[in-house]
Amino acid sequence: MNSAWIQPALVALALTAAAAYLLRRAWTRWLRARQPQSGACGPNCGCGDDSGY
Amino acid sequence: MSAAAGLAPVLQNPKQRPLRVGLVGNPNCGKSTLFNALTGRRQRVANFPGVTVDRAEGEYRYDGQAVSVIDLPGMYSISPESPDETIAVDVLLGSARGVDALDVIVLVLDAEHLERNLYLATEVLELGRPTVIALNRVDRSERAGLRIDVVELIHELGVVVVPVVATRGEGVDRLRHAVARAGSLPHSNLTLMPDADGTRGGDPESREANRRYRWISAVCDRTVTRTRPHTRSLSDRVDAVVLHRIWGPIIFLGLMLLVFQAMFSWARPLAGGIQALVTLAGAGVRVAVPPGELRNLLVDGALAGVGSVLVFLPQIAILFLFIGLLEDSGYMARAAFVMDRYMRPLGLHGKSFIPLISGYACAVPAIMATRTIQHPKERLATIMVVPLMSCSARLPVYTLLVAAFVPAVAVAGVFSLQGLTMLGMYLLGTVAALAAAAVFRRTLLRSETRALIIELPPYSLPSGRVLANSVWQRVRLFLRRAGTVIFAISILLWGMATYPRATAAPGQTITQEQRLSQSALGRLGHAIEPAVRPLGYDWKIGVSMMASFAAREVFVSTMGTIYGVSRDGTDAHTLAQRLREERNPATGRLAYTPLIAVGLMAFYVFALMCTSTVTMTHRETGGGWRGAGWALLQFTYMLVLAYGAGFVIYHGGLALGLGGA
Repeated sequence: MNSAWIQPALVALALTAAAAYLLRRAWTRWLRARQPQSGACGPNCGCGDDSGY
Repeated sequence: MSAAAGLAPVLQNPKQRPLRVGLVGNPNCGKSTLFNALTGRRQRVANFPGVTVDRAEGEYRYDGQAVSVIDLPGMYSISPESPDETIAVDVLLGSARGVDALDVIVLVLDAEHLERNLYLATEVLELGRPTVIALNRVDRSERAGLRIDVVELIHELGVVVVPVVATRGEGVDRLRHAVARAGSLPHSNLTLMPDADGTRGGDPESREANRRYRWISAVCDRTVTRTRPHTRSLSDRVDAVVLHRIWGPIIFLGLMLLVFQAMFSWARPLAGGIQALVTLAGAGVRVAVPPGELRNLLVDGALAGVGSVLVFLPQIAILFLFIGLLEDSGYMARAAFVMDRYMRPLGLHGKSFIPLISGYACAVPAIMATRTIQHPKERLATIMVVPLMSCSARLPVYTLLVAAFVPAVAVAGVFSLQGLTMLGMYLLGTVAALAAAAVFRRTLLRSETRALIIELPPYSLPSGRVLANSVWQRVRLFLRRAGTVIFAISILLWGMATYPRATAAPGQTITQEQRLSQSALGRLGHAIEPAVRPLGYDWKIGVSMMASFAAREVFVSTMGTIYGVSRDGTDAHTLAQRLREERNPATGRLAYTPLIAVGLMAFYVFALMCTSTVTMTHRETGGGWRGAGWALLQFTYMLVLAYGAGFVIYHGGLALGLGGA
């Protein structure tokens, strides 16, 4: 942890991972929005997949 | 459509694929409770009709056979009148897109209301499919003085009838056994011949209904014995007060007031405990990680952002505990009945009330709950105004601003001013929703408003298990959101608030505020500041508002991160304190005042900052360009309302000498 490059490298990794997660989330939500289905996923929607919340 | 074409030939090779079983029955007869008992799932249940508005699937194994169970929305007949009934009928008849035909129908009948439930039973049994009847709530019917001769009922209906008490799991194993053997048992050959009863006159539908009720009445005469005379039940006596023209609305408002008072006063010690844990975690990170970028990211970014939202967890839990109590006790349907008198002049149907109240939790399931409304224009008007009801994601924003700018003083010796302010925000959203509905119903969505017919379920003591499950589901969602999207946004915003690093000229020092101002986030904030300045907001609020389009709570976490970066360490209470003490660097005056806070809360009451809601509106209003048009209209009118309210409050307040930045 004391090496000068470790902390900036970990920070860069964390920022990249956070950005990638948010982009992936936006992309999957976009894809899901385009899929025809009887009802969307949401809390209490009943389909059990509430990840769209 | 031929009803007989709907179901697959039954169970020729039952071991090869899961047996597909559909739960069918009247609304609020206990289908979802039975579904949970059969499959071990945690499908949402409550004591009012129309809780399930979409199909849900679960599985269990019995005697080596996989069984796939579909829980369906309730229906009164196989001629659907609302979108949720259409979903159920389509699955029952095998015409639902993407859903395999059912092998066995489990027809759930409420033993306490057998006569009414048998109407649907006659229609389902006439389909001639493998059917098993689950006679639910036999415990309640016995308590009500109704004894049902199950053997005689089997003879009358021609199918297996299994008495069950779904809430306690009684009879569920016998039901599994009956379902597994349904293919080998005789199918019902019930046929009510049109000319068998000699009914004359009236339209064909009325004649058919009369014929069915005549047959049902005869069946009930032979199968149901009243062990004691019918007396006025406790539910009837309570309803005399709860549904009273004057007392009813007063009781409803009193309950709402109690909820918001509890949210503020009960949550405080719990929030303090979470706050202490977040502070402890920050101290732990400081000890474990040496000074540097990573430590700053963890403490000022992740912990400051996520921690500032987590402290609102107790309030979320209390809100859902009360919603669960109202739903499971049977009060919700009464509240719809009481409020119908006030909603109908505005053009809203009484059935709109339950989706509107559900909107206090989340607009996404609330919009789905409008499927119980039969008339398309009444339903569309409800969808368009549901997001104005303050959802739980707005709660952290209100709470932060109320805690920062509203003094914790008592009003009339009983109520806290903070709780009353909170109630005021919820009332503002509710009044705006009703007013917007009135406008829609008099312009784009004009039609006659029909009378409310709603089934009032008997009151019941809320089940601890159901309440705990309801609260846990919401707490789990909140934690997951805090641990995923809010965590990721906090990290990213910390990066934007830290880089690029401003460098001081030789011999000069640079303050944290200047660093923040020159960071990517600061520059972005200053770029959008002209758009929010007319509302009295600075760039920090502007950036936080923009970030909260991902999720409303992100407003709080962004403010937490911004103040975490600008100073060392933060927590929700000090964040509130810092908001109070923040000064405009240019003028030296207070940056945020109670006037700005009220304007900001009003902005959040009206603004539709939720992509999930926009998506749901698009789908539920028909999808495609039509749905996109309604979703765009909804987003735009709410944004105009939000901006207008913020502007009027700020400038009106200034004109009245109430102070500003």
